[in-house]
Amino acid sequence: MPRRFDQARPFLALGVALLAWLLLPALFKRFARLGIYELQAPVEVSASYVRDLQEFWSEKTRSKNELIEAARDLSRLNSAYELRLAEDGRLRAEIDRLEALLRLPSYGEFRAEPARVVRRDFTAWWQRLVIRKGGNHGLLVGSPVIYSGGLAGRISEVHATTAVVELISSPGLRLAAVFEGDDRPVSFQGGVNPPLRPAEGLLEFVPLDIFATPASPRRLVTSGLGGVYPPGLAVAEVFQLEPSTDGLFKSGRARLDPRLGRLSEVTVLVPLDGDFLPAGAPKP
Amino acid sequence: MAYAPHSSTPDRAGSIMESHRGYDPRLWLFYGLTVLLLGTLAAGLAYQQLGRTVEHREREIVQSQRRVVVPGPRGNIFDREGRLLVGNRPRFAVTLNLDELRSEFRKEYLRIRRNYRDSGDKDLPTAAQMERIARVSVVQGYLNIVNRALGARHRVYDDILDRHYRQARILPYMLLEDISPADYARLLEQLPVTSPLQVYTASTRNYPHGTLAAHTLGYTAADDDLAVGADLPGADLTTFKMRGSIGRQGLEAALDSRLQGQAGGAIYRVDPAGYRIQPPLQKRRPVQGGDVVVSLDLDLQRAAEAQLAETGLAGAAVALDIATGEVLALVSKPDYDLNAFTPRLSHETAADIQTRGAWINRATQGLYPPGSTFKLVTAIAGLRSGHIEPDSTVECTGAYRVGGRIFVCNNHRDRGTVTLAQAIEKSCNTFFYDYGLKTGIDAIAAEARRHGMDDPTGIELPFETRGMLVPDPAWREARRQERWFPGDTANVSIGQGDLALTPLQMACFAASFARSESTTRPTLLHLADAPRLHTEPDGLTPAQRGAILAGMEAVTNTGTGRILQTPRYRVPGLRLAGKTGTAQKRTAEGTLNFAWFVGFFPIDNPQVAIAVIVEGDTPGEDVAGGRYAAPVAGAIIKAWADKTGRYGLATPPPATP
Amino acid sequence: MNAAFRQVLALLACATGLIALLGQANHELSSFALTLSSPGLLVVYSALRLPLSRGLVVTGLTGLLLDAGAPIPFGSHALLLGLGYCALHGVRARLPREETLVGVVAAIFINLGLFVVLAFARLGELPDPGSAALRLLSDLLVSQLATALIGPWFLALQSRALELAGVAPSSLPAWSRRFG
Repeated sequence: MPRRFDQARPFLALGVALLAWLLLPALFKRFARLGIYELQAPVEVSASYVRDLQEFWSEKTRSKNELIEAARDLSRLNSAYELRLAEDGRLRAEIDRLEALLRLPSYGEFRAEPARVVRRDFTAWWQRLVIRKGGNHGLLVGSPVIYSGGLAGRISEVHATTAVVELISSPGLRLAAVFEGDDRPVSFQGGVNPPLRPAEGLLEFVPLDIFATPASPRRLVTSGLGGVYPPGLAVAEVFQLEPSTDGLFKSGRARLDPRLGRLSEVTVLVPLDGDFLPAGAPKP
Repeated sequence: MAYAPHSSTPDRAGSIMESHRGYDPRLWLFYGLTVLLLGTLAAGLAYQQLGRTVEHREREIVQSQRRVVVPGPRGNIFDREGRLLVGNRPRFAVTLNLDELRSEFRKEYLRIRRNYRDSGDKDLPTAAQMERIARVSVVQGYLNIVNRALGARHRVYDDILDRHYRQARILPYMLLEDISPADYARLLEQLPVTSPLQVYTASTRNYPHGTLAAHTLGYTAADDDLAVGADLPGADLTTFKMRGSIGRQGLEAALDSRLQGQAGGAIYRVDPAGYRIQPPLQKRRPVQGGDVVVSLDLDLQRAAEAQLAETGLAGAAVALDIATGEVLALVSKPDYDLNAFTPRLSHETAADIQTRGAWINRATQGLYPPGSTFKLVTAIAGLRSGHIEPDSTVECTGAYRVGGRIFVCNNHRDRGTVTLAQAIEKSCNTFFYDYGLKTGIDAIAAEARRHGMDDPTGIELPFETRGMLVPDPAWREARRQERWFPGDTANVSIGQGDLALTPLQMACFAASFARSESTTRPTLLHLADAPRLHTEPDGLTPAQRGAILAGMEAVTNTGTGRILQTPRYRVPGLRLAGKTGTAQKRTAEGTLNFAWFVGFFPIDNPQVAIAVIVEGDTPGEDVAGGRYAAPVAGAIIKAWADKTGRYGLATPPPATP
Repeated sequence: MNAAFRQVLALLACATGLIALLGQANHELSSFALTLSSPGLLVVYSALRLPLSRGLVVTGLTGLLLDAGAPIPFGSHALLLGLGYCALHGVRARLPREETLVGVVAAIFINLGLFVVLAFARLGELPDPGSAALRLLSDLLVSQLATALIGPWFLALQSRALELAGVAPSSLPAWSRRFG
C-alpha cells in the first residue's frame, strides 16, 4: 500500500466512523448519552459522599469550646430568625389581604428541596452544578435554584438521582431582572468568567435613568415577570452602566457573588402549579 | 484464432518510422497550433488570475455578500429648560431568523411530501407549494412556543411569510410586533439564548406630552428607503434596509437631517439560497441622531393650551421672547395626539383629525383679518407720517361717513372727544377711520410692510403660509382690476377688508414694537447665549410711543382687555400692554367673529410678546377679543410670572407666627 | 473475554478514572475560576500503542464518556478526540513512541491543537470574547502544567492496567518500566 494512503488511513477510518455516527437514529444517541451518564453518576456521587465524610471528620476535630461557642451563636441566630419569621408571617398576611382586596393573582407556590452539590463543573463555556437529587425527588427541568446569597440558577437536566443546575454565571442563562426599587425589566446574561476573579454578567436594555458605578453599585434582583423565578431574589451587583450608541438603553456589567464558586448546598424551588416554568418544560 | 503474421508489416512500419523521423511541415504546423492555443489559454488564465484579480474578487463579493442596514434612533427634542418634549421609546418585537431553519424547512418538506404520497392523493401540490406549506408549518411551530409562553394564539400569515421569504430572507422575520414589557420579560427568560427566536428591540418616537405643541413638534412617518451615509461600507452590495422614520411635519420635518440617526448595519456572506452565514463580516452599530434644544417653554405652552382648550373653540397663540425672537409657546387648536402616529396612523384617526380641521397649524398657516389689533399699525403710520399727533382727538358719534357709506363704531358707548390713547383703549373705530383716511392707504400699507406683514416670518417650521396680504390700490388694480375706494382705506385702518395675517406675524409685530424696532425674525431653536435682535428702529418719538403705550396699558386695565385684572389673571405689579380685536369673516352661513389679543409685558422692560386668536364657530355669536383671547394671554402671563417669581406671588406666603 | 475487548475495557476504566479525577480537581478549583482539562492525555496511549481500529474505538468511547456529562451535542468530544487521535496516529511511526516524554509532549500538543480549534470555532458565541479568551488561555496554561505533572503517572497507570488485564502490548513502553 502506498505510504501516503497509509498516513491517511486513520482519517479515513474516522470519516467512516463519523458517517456511521450521523446515520445512527437520534433515539439511540439519546439513550446512549443517558446510559453513559447514569453509568458514571455513581462515581461522582460516591466522591461527594466521601467528601461529606471528610468534612464530617474534620468537623469532629473541633474542640468542645468551639462547639459551645457555635451553639451559642446558633441560638442567637435562631432567635433572630424567629423574629424574622414573625415579621414574615405578618407581611404575608398583609400581602394576602392586599391581593384579595385588589383581586390580584397570587404568585405561584414552590416546594423547597434542599440538595447537596456533587460537583461544580465550571468552564469558560458553561457553569453548572451537579446536585444529589433528581427525578427521584420530583425535581423538574426549569425549576429555580437558590442559595444563601440569592438566585443560583435553574435546573437544566434531571436524571434519576442527580440533576444539573445551570448557574446564573453561565452564558446560556438569561433572565429578566429588575433593579432593586425599580420595576422595569432588564436583561441579565451570565458568561463573563475571568480567571481568579468572581464571575460577571452582562446587562442589556437598562433604562437610561438608572445609574451605577463601582463606588455606588446597584443591586439587581429577579423581576418575577419572566415566569420562571419568583421576584426579589438577589442576582448580582451592578457596577458599570454605559449608554449604548443607539441612545435607547444602557448596557453594563454586574458582579456575581463569589460564593457561587464555592456552593456546596442549594435549594431547588419546585413549582407546585407549574406556572413558573419555561414554555415547553414538563408540568408537574 | 491463429496468429497470421503479415509479411508486409516491417515495410509499412518502416515507412511510418520514416515519416516520423522526417520533418513533415504539416506536423510542425500542428505543433505550432497546439503550442499557440495552449499559450493563449495559459496567457488568458494568467491574465484572468493575475491581471484581473481585483475585478473578480469584487464580482465575487457583490454576488456573495449582502448588506443589512439598520436605522439609528432619532435625536431627542428638549424644551429651553432641558425638559424632554420628544424622545424615543423601545419597541419590543419577536423575530425569527429564517437562515437558522434551513434544515428544519427541508425536513418538514420531506415529511409533507411523504404524507401526500402515502395518502395516495392524485392531486399533489407542486414542490414549490409544498415548500411553502413546510415553511409556514415550521414558523408556526416556533410561534407556538411564543404563544405558550405568553398564553396567546397568534397565527402565521402565509402570504406575509412568503413575501418575506422571497424578498428579504436575510432579514429576521417579524413574528410579533410591539409586545408589552411584561411579555418581553417572559420571552427573555423563557426562550433559550441560542434559539432562532429572538427578542428584537427597535426604537419608536415617543411624545411624553401627547398633544402638547403637536403642530410645532410634528410627527414622523415610516421610511422604507432609509438614507445611508457614504461612510457605511458596502455601498456596491445588494442592500436590505430595515424600516426607518422620516420627519413629516413640524420640527420633526424641519430638523430631520439633524435628528435623523446614523444608520448602522452589517455585511453578511450569503449562501446560494440567499441565507446569511453567521457571523457577519463587518458590523457597525447605529448611532442616535443629534439632540435639539428648542425655544419652547413647557410651562407657558401648557398654560396657553389649557386656557385655549377651555374655550372649546379653534384658535392659536404665540408667545415670543422679545429680545431674541425665540418662540416660547406656539399653540394651535384643535390638535392631535402625536403618539397616534407611531408606529402608524390609523385611517380612523386620520379621518377624525380631518373632520375636526386639526391638520392646520393655525399659528403659522391660519390667515385672519387682524381686526382692531391692526389699529396699532395705523397709529404708527399716522404718527410717523405726521397725520396723527400724540394729542390728536376725534369726535366719535358712533357713525362715520365715507363717501356714500356710513361706517359704524359700536366698540364703546360713551360718545364724545376721543384721544389716541383712548381710541386704543376703547378700540374706537371712528378715530381710526378718520386718521386712517388722512394718513392714506399707501402709508398704512408701507408701515405694515415695514413690519414684514406681507412676507412669511421665516420660522423653521415647514409649510408656513405665503398667502399673507397687505392690500393697497396697486395690488387691487393688478389682482382684480378694480379701483381702490376711500371706504377700503377705512376698512384697512381698523384691520378689516382684504388684510390677511397669521397670529405669528402679529406676535412678531408686538415684539418689534416692544423693542421700538421694525421686524422680528422668530426662531424655534434655543441658544443659551442668543444675541439680542437689532433691526431698523420704528422711528417713533418717545412722546408718540408714550401715547400708544398709554392706550395699550389702559386696554389691560380699564379697556377691552380688563379681564386681565380679574383675580384669575392679575399679576400684581406687572404692567401689561395689549390690544384686543374682533375681526369679522363672512361665510356662506353668516358672519363669524374672530377674537384677537396682541400685547407684551412688562411695559418697563419688555420680555414677552403675545398674539392670540380664537375662532368663533357660530355665525353672529359675539366672540370678542377681550372675553376669549385675552384670557389665553392672561394664562401665559400668569405662568411666566409664576416661573420668574419677579412679579406678584404664585401662592400666598406661609403665615408667620 | 477476548483480548481486544479487555484492552478496550481496561483503557476505558483508566479514562473514567482520569475524568473523575479531573472533575474533582475542577470542583476544588471552581472558586479560583480555573478549569483543568487534558483531552490529549486520554488519547496518547491509544494513538501511540494500539492498532488503528482498536485505538479509534477506545478514543471514540472516551469521547462519549466526556460528552455524556457536558451540555454540548453528543459526539462532539468523540469527534475532537478522534481528530487528535488520527493526527498522532499518522506520525507515530516517526516517533520513539515508547518514551514517556514523547507521550506527555504529544498530549500537550493535542491539548493545544484542540484548544485552538475550539477557540476559533466557538469563541465568538460567548457574550464577552475578550475575557473569555483570557480565561481560556489561563485554563490552557494550568491544564498543560497538570498534563506535564500527571502525564507520566497516567501513562504508567494505563500500561499497568493492561498488564493486569493480561493484554499489554508486546513490548512495554519505557513509562511502564519506570513507574511499574
